[in-house]
Amino acid sequence: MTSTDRPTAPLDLSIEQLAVHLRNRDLSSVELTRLSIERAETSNPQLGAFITICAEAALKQAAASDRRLAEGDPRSALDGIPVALKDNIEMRGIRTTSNSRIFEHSVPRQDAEVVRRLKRAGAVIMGKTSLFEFGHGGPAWDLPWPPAINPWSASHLPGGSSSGSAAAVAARIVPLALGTDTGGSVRWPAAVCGISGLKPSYGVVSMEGIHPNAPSLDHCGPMARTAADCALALQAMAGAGRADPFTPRRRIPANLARIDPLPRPLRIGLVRHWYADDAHPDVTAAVDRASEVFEALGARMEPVTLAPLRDYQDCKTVISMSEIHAAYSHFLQSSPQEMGALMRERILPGSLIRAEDYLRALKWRRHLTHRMGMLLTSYDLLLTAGWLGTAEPNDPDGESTRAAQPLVTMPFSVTGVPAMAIPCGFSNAGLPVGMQIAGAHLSDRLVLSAAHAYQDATEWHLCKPPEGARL
Amino acid sequence: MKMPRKTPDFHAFLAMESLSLPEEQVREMESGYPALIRLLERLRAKTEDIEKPRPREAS
Repeated sequence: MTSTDRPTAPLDLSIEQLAVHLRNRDLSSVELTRLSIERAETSNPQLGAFITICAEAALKQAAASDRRLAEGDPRSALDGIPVALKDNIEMRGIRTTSNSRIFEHSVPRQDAEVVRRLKRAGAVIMGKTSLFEFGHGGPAWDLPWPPAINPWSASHLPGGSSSGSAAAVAARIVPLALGTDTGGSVRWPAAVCGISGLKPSYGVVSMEGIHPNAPSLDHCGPMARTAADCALALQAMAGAGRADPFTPRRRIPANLARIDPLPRPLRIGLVRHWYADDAHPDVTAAVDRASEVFEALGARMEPVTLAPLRDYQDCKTVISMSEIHAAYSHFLQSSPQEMGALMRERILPGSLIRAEDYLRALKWRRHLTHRMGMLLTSYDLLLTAGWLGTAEPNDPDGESTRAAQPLVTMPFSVTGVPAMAIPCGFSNAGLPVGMQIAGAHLSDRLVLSAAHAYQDATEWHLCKPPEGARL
Repeated sequence: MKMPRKTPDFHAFLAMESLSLPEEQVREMESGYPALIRLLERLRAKTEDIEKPRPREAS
């Protein structure tokens, strides 16, 4: 790609496009970062995507990027690109709150491993985004920062727990934000905000320096407008930390995140029974149409059957309740009133789960993982809904629609395989709808490539929230 | 952490942990307790098959 023109709306561009402009010097990183900060500050009173905007530190990083770019020596495609971090990811010298009163004024002394890697790639960290308390207790209105708002509709929420990251990307504040995903916290907000979000294979991105939720299920992943941008980010993010007990120290495949042409024949298993009956009808229709697009691209689509969603959800719930209780029970004992009510309510039952039930859930997880792994020896990828509904209404007194719905993100959380949510249409009410593409463990490259091929053939990922709704 | 071993009891747990939570919060959590028990029962039923003991020779 070449470019010699100054872009008129840089924040509407992808990372790929911005990298060309930055290298050609028709846009500087300082200009781009300033635009990003201004939009974050202007929109935040209504959108609430950010907990902290690090203007000073970001502009310093941007100036350093500009020096490297002027010397023709960028560190990567991310050099000079403004990036936001979910506020459970630690950054040296910048408060990291997890949207909890417990950490409201906590300032880490070290960067999380993934932040070290992003900085090494030249990314400009411009802010910390809003989330459910510790990525678990939300949406909730009794936390230090209220829930973010969905840029597509001021009366709807952006999903969670990586709420602010999704809102910031959808509202064109940043081209890239990081989220974390234990049961769907990258993919749910990506699906209902009309952006792309990848939960990489378990262990590919280090969780060192990221506040835990359930460590054996925790993932960190990129959220951007395109699959190609997620690939660029993953390439920079992947790798184990120095003191990371949960990221396997195995070799991450080279070019894990490269975008390739789709293999032929491409065999895709359509897990339709997960969304055919329980999803919003507009979701079912949109995912069925997406399946037809893959067919037109030359894929062989076949319906497949896996365990019901409830099985994955039960398994995940027992594991995550036990692990989150282990991670936070000391706060529950020392300062229960400092936690939001929802967080307390979700942590406390973990103490009632006995070790034998936890071990039983681990065995069940191995069984479910094995079954999915066997299926993925016959199929290259799986396709299903990204979320069974559309965005939830922003109603503090309303019943969460999530409680009544099975969670279609859980199967890939439990099994640890790479899964990506990308936009595939809109509901009749004008809210974004997403699908998920998943593959075998460490097949992140194929998942990203398939998502990219779909985005090459469609334009859902290019749709922008209407200005009014964007606040 | 101390825990009731056989039949986890919600109020016993609260007392052991010396947790002083608002009454309304306690009631809410208590109402969720049967759902947790049902969840654990489903898990036990599901895993029965994969938990069958390996055959052993008589000693």
